[in-house]
Amino acid sequence: MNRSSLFVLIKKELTRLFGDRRLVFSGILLQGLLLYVMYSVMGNFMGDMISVDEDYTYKVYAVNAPQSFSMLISESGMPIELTESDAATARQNVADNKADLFIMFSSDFDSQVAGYDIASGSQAPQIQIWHNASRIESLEADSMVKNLFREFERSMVKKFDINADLDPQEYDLNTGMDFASSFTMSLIPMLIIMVMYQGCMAIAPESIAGEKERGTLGTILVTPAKRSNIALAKILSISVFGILGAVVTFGSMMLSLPKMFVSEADGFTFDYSVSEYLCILLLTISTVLVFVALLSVLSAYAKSTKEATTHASPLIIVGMVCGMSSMITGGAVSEFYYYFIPIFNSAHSLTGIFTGDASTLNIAITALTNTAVALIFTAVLTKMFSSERIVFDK
Amino acid sequence: MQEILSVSNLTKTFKVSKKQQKLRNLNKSVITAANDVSFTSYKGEVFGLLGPNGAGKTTVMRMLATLINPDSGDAMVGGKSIVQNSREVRSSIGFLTNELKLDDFFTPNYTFDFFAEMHRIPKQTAKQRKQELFGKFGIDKFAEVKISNLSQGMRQKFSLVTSIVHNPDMIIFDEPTNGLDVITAKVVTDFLIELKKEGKSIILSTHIFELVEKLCDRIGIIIDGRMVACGTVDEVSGGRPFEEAFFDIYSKTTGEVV
Repeated sequence: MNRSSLFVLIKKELTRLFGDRRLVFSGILLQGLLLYVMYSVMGNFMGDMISVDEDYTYKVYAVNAPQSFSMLISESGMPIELTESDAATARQNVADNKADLFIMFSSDFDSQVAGYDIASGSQAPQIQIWHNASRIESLEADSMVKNLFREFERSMVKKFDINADLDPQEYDLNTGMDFASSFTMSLIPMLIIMVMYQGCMAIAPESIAGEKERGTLGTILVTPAKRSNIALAKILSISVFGILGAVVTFGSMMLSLPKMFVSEADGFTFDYSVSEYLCILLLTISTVLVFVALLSVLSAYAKSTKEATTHASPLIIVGMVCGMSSMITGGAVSEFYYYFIPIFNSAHSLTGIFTGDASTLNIAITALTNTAVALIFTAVLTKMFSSERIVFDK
Repeated sequence: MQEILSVSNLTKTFKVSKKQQKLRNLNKSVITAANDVSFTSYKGEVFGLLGPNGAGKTTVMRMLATLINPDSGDAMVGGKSIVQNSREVRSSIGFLTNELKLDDFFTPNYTFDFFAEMHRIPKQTAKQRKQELFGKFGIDKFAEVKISNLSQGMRQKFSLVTSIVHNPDMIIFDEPTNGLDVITAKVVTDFLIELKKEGKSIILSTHIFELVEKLCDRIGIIIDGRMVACGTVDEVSGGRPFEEAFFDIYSKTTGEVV
């Protein structure tokens, strides 16, 4: 049975792409490898950033610190330098990174605790603790002191509460994003987008502009195949190659993202659900399709591989700006209409997933918009292949 | 005689960029590569297209191969219009030109099978044809060698083979012996004679007068996009040596003394 020319062309394109070991390495394996290495290096870097020197002494400011607290600290053997202060100074010092922690006790805390009757239903004696999440020392001190108090409270049969009256975030005096979020938002989506772009860039110009340049495209044009089929075969096979690269990228993300978040400290945990991973995969594939379609059109317009690379260079800047935009907007934008902007939507959807702010609607809009854009550019490419100027312009 | 190709008033213009205008010292933004070209070719004959470089021969051949569309005019190949039935025309013709290259990455074996599938040739027929053509041109020994590793002569022979994978009735050859060593050139020339004997129709563009006199039944001379002479070699040369007649026609048409 004779096969359709589209099938024959796709088979030939795939044989060409997958038969070239260098292309398979640079277009598929390299991006996964790069991502794994980058995330691992960044994980180590972050590990260094989020670990506190062994001989570090935590500066803790306290207001109304009772005798029992000073004893508790000295008995615990923790490297804490306790300074009695007024509330305003203590608060300012923590905000200005001059101190690690600010603890405010109810006045006459020890006697209040001693006289407190749980059965009375009245408010328990209060301890309020403020930290600054932009510094690991502050986070570590917060965690350490809270654990100390919990142990102390347990020993006293729960006679006081810690930060009970407010949302825990209210006690974070850092005015910007928290450490992990800002890092994730600024770097990871951009890295993913750049790696995907790089993978598509390794094949699209070579497959289309390269064939024009070498004169091998004309040889196929002399066969009875429809020109639209030739264009479709190109874009479909590049997409298969690109998607495979995206799957490798995704696999590498699954393996390497946990390396990014090496601490158990607050804000540094890495725990995503299966559905979130599937969303990352969906976003990765749809973004790759946009890049494949865009780069294919640019490559068809170019006279040579070199020219195609030049035409594509503004696209990498767009990718970088979109990738970093979540840092400027302070996280994933929430308005749905922004998710109709290709690439930008991918960056923000990914940021949303990483920071736990993802919306199913926005992810769906992103995937559908990207697929629609890819289809539109595929139609443009098939039209371009019917143009003499495009296919014979050398 | 059975008419296999009928070319009627083919015209093709190209826009010239300002850069090209400067380079080629042109004072117009549009050039007419083929201007109202008409001729007829019959089954089993070799029709030679002659003319200086840039005269428009390749443009006419590209239009006949349906790679580019004419601005006006048409040509019927085996009764099919190159404008209306371009895919059918491509199924019934072979086209060999130096401009079109084979992908260096593949082997002759793979490439032959690919083109056979593109022309929807049954596998068994394709296998027999491959054996026959590979054997004739000595390609069988290099069937699994990448095209990038073949010699220039072997590549040209294989290009010739790929242009006739589907056993077309009409074959268009644009300077098929250009750049070949004498031995490979002879192999190609002998094959053209063999194709003629098989009753194939050949449109041949060449600068080699000896080849014209040896192979062509009829010729057409194109100068500045126009068909300025058309007929048998004897009719066009008027009994003089063909080379002398060609230069005379060229001088009369362009006003340039050669």
